[in-house]
Formats: sequence, structure tokens, C-alpha cells
Amino acid sequence: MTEDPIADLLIKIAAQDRRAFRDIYSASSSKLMGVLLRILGNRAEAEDALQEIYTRVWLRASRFDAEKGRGMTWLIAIARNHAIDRLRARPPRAGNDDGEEVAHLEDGRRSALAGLVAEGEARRAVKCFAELEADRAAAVQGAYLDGLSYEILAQRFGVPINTMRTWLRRSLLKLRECLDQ
Amino acid sequence: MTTPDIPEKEESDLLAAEYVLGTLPLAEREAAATRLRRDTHFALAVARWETRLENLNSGFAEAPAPDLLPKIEARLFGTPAPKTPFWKGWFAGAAAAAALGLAVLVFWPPTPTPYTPLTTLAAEGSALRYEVALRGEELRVARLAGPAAEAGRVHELWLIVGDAAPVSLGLIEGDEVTLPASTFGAGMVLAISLEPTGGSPTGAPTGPVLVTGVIENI
Repeated sequence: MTEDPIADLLIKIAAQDRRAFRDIYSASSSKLMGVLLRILGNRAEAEDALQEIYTRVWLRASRFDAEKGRGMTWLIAIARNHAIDRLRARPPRAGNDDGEEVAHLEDGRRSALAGLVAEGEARRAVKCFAELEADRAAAVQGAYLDGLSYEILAQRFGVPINTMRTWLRRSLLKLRECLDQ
Repeated sequence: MTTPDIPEKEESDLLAAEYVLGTLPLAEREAAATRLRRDTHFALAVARWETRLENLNSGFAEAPAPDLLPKIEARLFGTPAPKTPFWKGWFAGAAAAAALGLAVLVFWPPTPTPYTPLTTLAAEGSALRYEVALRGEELRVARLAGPAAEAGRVHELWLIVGDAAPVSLGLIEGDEVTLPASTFGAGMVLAISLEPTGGSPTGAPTGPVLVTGVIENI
């Protein structure tokens, strides 16, 4: 057993425990639904994606390694990756309309930081994000929480795509340096 | 992409970060996903970035999810699906192949052979045949007839559950692969596609689907 109830369930699911599969759905589906609605912006697609994601959880649970990370982090990574794959496969400009994305971005900045402040263990993450320039921290969070591509971020911040990518890469290096201390 | 002032050795870790962040354009994202499956150092770099950024997950509000478990369980564990799954359109021959597989199962005499055939992967007009057989907790997929992949190509095995996208079960580098039987349930479809050496670069079948079959009972 670990200190991580989702990790414990994943280990049981890897051993084909169907009851653990039901338990993990109860314990995590509303969080993953939140991830999918946020990134996809469409309930019907989010529900379709949710089925796909739990199918993958069953089929891939044996690849989960509790030494390498928390169970919920692994589940959210599957959900985000699947949602972002769907977004990137959409025809260009078929995403949410801009107004909605801006609202998400603003909302994401506030709620992500509020969430960070709420968790004592995450104080360092707050500090590290605070060390970034405000618009770059917002860009990292907008990418992470809303699935914004370099193209959309570049439009949003009024810079060329390559500039946006350079900004974000430098910000990621700074974050890594700060978070790994 | 190479960013000025960023040393070459950082490129791989930055790519891992960009993959986790999700900002890469489709083609680069697919290439990174392929590398993730094959390159354990890159996979570890991705896992480390997932942990570095996990505090951002608190920015996702929870949203009530409908109870989709019955549908998911039906898809995974073999309760008959109410609608026709998309793969039925791929190969009309699959059902016939499965019926053949089932007939083989029913009429197979008790012999010392430890594997019990479950189904045959085949396609109309193709000599290629793979047998799917069970022994205890092991499921074996073995080529019975037809040629192996030519040089530079490989046969890749896929599992298709309901309407879900095919999931790769790996490459058939020799003449057979053995997998844990517990992965499989009744109603699941197996398919073999022809891929470049090293397997599908996208994570989905890219070459022609050569043969398919349905696991009717397990």
C-alpha cells in the first residue's frame, strides 16, 4: 500500500480488479470531467472522451509506476493528453471562440493560483511561478489548463509563433531550475 | 526547433516539457508520443515534467460526470454493444473468420497441445492467417499461414474495444507474441496492420490492416 489511494487502485486495476476500476471511476471521474470540459469546451465530446480515457486506464494501468508519480497526476495526464490530441486534430480555427478562451485564460490564472495557495505543499510552485513575468506565467498556465497551442498563444499575446515558443521554453527552463531546488 | 541560447542537450528535456504542456503542433506532438513509447529516458523526462507541473491541476474545477461506467464496462468486458461498432465496416470477412475460429474451438479434439485456439485472424483474399490461442493465463497470437512482413516492415497487433481507437499490443517480430490473457474479453477485436520497422509512428495503424478477428469467447 502507498499513501496515495488512487495509486493503490491503479495497482489493483493492473491486476484486473474490476471493483477497483469502479472505485477509481467514482473517485476521479468528476475531476477528469472537469479537465475535459475545460480543454474541449463541449459536453458531448467530453463525455465521449471520458469513456475513451477510462478504457485506456483499464488497458494501461500496468504501466503506472507509483515510484514515478502520484496516481491522480497519472490519470490527469491521460485525460489532458487525450483532450489535447483531440484539439490538435481539429481543423484550424474550429476551436472555441476567442471570447470564451480569454475567459478561460483569466479564470485559469485566478483559480490555478488560488488552488496553489490553498495547498501548503505547493508553496514552492507558487513562488516559482511568481518569479516568471506575469504574462509568461499566464501563458504557461493557459497552455496547461486550456490546451492552448503555440499558434493561439502567439495570437493572444501578439507575437510571432517562434517568439512565443522561445518565451515559453525559457520560462520552462526557469521553472525547472526553481522547482528542482 | 532549436532555440538560440539553449544548449543542445536541453532540447530533449524541453521537448518533454512542451509535450506535457501540450503546446506542440500536431506532427511534432505525434512524433513526441512515439518517442515516449520507445525511449525510456524521454519517458522519464515526461514523467518528471508531469510531476513538476502537477500543482497546476488544482486549476481544474471538478464537474459532475454522468455514470458512463455501464458503457465503459460493456466495451471492456464484453457485454454486447447495442450499436454496430465501426470496425464492422472495415472487414466483412472478420465475422466469417471469427465463426471459423469458433468452429475450430468447438470441434477441437482434446490433445496434448497446451494451447486452445480461440479465433483466427484472416481476411478475404489473403493467405495470411494468425491463430489466437489460449493456455492458462497466456494468450498467444501466432502466424499459421502466409508470408511474414517484408524487410523494412513489421506486423503490428492491435486491440479494438467497441468504438474505441485501436490500442497497440506490440510488434510481432518473430512468428508469434504471447500476452496476458486477462487483457482480453469477449467481443474484442484483434487486427494486424503492416507498419514500418519499429512500429506505427503515430500510435494508430498507418499501414494496411491485413487481417482481423473477433474473440467471441474467452
